[in-house]
Amino acid sequence: MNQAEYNKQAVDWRNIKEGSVAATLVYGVPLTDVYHYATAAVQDPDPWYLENSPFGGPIVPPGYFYGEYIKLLVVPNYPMGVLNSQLTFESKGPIFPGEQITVTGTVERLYQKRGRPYLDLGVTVTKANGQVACRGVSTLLLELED
Amino acid sequence: MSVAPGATQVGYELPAVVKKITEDLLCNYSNRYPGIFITTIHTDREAAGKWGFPDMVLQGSQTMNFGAEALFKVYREHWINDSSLSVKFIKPVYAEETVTIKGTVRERKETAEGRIVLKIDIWAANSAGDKVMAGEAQVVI
Repeated sequence: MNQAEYNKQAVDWRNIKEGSVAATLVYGVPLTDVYHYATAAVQDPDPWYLENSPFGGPIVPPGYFYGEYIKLLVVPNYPMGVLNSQLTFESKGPIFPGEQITVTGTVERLYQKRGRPYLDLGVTVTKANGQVACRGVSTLLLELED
Repeated sequence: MSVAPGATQVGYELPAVVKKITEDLLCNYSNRYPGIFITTIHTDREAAGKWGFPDMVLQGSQTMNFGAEALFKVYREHWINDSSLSVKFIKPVYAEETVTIKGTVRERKETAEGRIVLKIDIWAANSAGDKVMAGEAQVVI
């Protein structure tokens, strides 16, 4: 299935409610994923990601979560849209490989601009102790044409 | 650990980050979602062509990652502990282009607690020199 076909069979964006939780994912980022991400996906093999950091062991690159909106949209079969038009993220502390985290996607806003539909999906990464380590908003253009 | 010399001063220019957008780089980033078997505009020319894109399109979040790399290399633990990055994507970036990330410290403020808050303009340009991403970062030191 390609992206256009996926969007066609996905939940109609008009039926998605603002304020609703799209998906909640609980997992730990395996060290092997951190290694692949740093070396192959973004080509930034920083020793803090691969070996050790002043935080005590390697850390997950905060940017790992910038693209998590795709998982959060596909789980409830929401449209992933066409393009990302805007992205905002905060980092509030290290996340370690294997550490349990909860990644929550919230439908913050659905709106039209110049006749095109947009979705603001909030993404929050919370540690097991309740601390928010990372949070952001991904703005997605849902359709190119009406 | 301290930041690079001069990096807390207005006008400081981040060392540029330059990335050649190979097919491997596109696919290694955008095919990393286990269990999701959707060919996207980021990994498949046919899927990109459905919307009239001439080639596979770099995922915006990947461009933003390159911006984060430029900031992390300078501000290290401060980037991890208390920072933000907000960007708009201006033009698509296609496979085989080169992306260059640059940034400049625009504002420095000191808080009553003795911390330094930096605002940094950050942007990315494609091979033709056109801006493809622009935004602002904040780092608290």
